[in-house]
Amino acid sequence: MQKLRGQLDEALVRYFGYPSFRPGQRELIEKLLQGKNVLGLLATGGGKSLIYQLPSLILPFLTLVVTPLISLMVDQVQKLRQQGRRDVAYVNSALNPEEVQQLLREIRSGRYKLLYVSPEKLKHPAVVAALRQRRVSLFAIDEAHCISQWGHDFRTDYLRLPSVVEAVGSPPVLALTATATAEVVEEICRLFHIHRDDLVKQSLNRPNIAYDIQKVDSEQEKREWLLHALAHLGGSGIVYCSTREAVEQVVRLCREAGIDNVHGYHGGMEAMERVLIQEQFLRNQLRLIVATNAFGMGVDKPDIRFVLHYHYPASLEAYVQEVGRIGRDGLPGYAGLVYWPGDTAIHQGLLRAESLSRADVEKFLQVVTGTASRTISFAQLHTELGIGETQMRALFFYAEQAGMVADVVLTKDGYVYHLGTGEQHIAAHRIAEELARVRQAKLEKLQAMEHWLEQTGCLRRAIAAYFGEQADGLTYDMYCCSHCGLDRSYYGRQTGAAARTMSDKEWDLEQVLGRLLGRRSGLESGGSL
Amino acid sequence: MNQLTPREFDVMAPLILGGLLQLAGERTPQSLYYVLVGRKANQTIQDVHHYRLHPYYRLFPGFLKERWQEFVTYFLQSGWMERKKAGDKVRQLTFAITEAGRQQVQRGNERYRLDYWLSPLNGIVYGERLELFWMRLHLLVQTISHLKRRQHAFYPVVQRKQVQAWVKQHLTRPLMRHRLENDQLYNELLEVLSPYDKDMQRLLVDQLSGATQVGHTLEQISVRSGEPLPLVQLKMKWLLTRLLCEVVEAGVQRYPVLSALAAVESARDPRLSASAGETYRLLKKGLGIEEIMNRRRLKRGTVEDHLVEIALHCPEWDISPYLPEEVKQLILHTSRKAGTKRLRIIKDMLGEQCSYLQIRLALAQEGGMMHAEAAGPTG
Ligand SMILES: [Zn+2]
Repeated sequence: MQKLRGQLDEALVRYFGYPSFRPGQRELIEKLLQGKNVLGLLATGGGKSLIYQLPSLILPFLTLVVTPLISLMVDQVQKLRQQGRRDVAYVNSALNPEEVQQLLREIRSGRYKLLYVSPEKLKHPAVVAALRQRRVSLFAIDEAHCISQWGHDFRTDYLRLPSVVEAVGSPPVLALTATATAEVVEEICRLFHIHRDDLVKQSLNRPNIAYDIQKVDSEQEKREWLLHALAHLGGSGIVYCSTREAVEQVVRLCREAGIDNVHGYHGGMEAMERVLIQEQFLRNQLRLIVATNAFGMGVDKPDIRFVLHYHYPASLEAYVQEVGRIGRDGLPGYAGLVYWPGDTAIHQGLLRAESLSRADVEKFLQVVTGTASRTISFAQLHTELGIGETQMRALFFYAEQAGMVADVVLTKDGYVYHLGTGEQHIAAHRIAEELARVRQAKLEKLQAMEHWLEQTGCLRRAIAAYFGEQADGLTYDMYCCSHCGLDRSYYGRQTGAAARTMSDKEWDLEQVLGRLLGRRSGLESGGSL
Repeated sequence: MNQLTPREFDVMAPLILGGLLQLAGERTPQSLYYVLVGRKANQTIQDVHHYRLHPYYRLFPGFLKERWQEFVTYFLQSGWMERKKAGDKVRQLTFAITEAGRQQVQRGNERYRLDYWLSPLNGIVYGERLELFWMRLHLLVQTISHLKRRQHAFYPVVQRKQVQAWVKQHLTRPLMRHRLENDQLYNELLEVLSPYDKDMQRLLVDQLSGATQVGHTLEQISVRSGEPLPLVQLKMKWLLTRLLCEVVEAGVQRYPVLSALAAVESARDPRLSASAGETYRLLKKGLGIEEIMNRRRLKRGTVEDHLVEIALHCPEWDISPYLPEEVKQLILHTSRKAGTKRLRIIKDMLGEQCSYLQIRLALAQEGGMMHAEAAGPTG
């Protein structure tokens, strides 16, 4: 044990450059190396990637990381490769079949020690076979709450994971999540055979964040609140909105009010544009991002000073995740939310839009069983049923469970499947029931969020209580919350990132190009992307 | 492009009306929408050729259908456009652009020089090539900028894997490396951009990323310059088209690096998806379905889908090895007789006489032909 400790400390310094572990990290790694299944409840930004990255350097075979976040896996693999690790790769649905084949060959040959994989890829027998052949030393599951049908982010592909763990020889399991209520924790532990003693919990409390809720009576007051807050807050920050349209409206509102150093961010924008905005933000070239919840995952910026919610999120889990991006450097930060009860209509609308009726389910089954080629594209399903990809995924999952289809494979453009033996009428009933249950769970999350907004006690305590944490003894650095008392002006003191502007007169092609392309300084040899 | 400000609308309206003008009396307004987003269907490509809409093709790939509908409604309400019946044979509705509508087009040209910015554009010839040229340039600049400063860790602004692979591959070529080390890219960019005014130079260079700056989005440039976003987008297309033409004309002697960025490695059939195009290439080399499945590691269903796509879009393809003429006639006859195009019904009627694939091929080829006829000159 002593030797192991020394080994861990050395690896920490040598590969990661950190002098010491953060709370919970060492405990989890040690348990894993002893062969135990563990669950880590770590705050966003609590350093969870280190918990599998470090053992992957020490363990003999493959460390597998299951994550639904493609941006996160691409980002981490890129970073690790930049640090010189050549034994990391990822498999996801964005790869074409040739690339996947090539990767599987390399996996079998033992080239990799750390492999990121998206959950739907583990449905392919060829992938599981390659993993078994390579042997898996550690099975890490990111966003483990996705396995719970009661969670706010249920993903059907996660339900298969326990059987995949078995199929690759039952290596130690590391389940990780930032936000999980007591019942979700229960479910994760049951499904992955995790002993209660092997649950490691970092407190969700973020002492350096102050919580502020401002209740208003109209959309107009919301706008005024936002502009006032933005005019007084210092440093860089994010404003979250529920819809793309709202993002664009808020950006326009800001610009009209003279706040120019701002940009919108949502899933409908071009890939390159999104990268530019994210990079500008990281380098403090851009001070403010107005975004849907598409922004933030995998963005590692330590000095975000505030997060504002122009609409309240659909669950407390989402809220905690979003404000958790504030102040990872440990310095004080501000989480402000403008609460207009009328916004519930947006959430109800979103819930309605994604809910599927019995008739939808029946039509879906008709289309699926009636397609001779047993191949159906996203576009085709979209035109025939008017549903999005998340809904398709859920429908296929439940249709498979109900025995209507089998061997469902998700490809780049759609689904390939075989027909099952299920009876259509019974299946439709069962599927509709399942969907209704999921919908009910989402509705309850929303109600919990709204309850938190309406209650008058300490906001920090109420969050802790919701996630089943001890609520006494919660600490905070400066101010706690608007219900306990808050001096908002305190968060305006830091100086903001300066906007860089260059007048047309100053601008000179030769100069700018020369600086950008580092004229007359040699290219370093062996450089690579 | 989502909700438009009045100033953005002020640019978009005459731009769209100008395109509609060409189609008036012949086609539906919708046809221009497909041209603007760059749909690859036969019909759309033929519209472009017939009605000289080359600058409009793929001008706004992300144009939302709902937005388009708003424009059409607005044009009708404003009296810039009227619904109209096409000749007595065709039952389709077409439209006319009124005098007021024409004035709008005129106004757009005077106010924003739309005709000037549109004139060199050709989405059919340059469409995707332009995007590729731009992404390669952007990523190459970012890479050189970092390597020159000995910074290996940077986040590639272009995420598309083919572009990353392209830059990586070219950086390892000794001659290319030698040139880049000697500031060749700097020299070429300086030369090719010098003839333009400062605004144009800045439009391009402000978007580039490197160790000293993160590129600006077109939206940010539009905020800085005070010009409506669609106009900035149009100017950027204009500039890139001009640069690409200049580089291609002057050739490899004058612009060795930029020429490499502008080169297209494989001439792709614009009528087909990339994957179907590859299948078509192999078919033409004489490979059969099985061989293509093995070589490309594809499922039978996928290759069959490709055949159907080819049958639909490539009338020159000799389909007979897969669909003998008499089988085709049998299928079409059955389909007409039963008054249906549903595969299962036709299959039930014909039983073992033909396969599902053959039914799909026959219907697809027939569909493609009808399109081609409908698009021909009316008269
Ligand atoms: Zn409090």
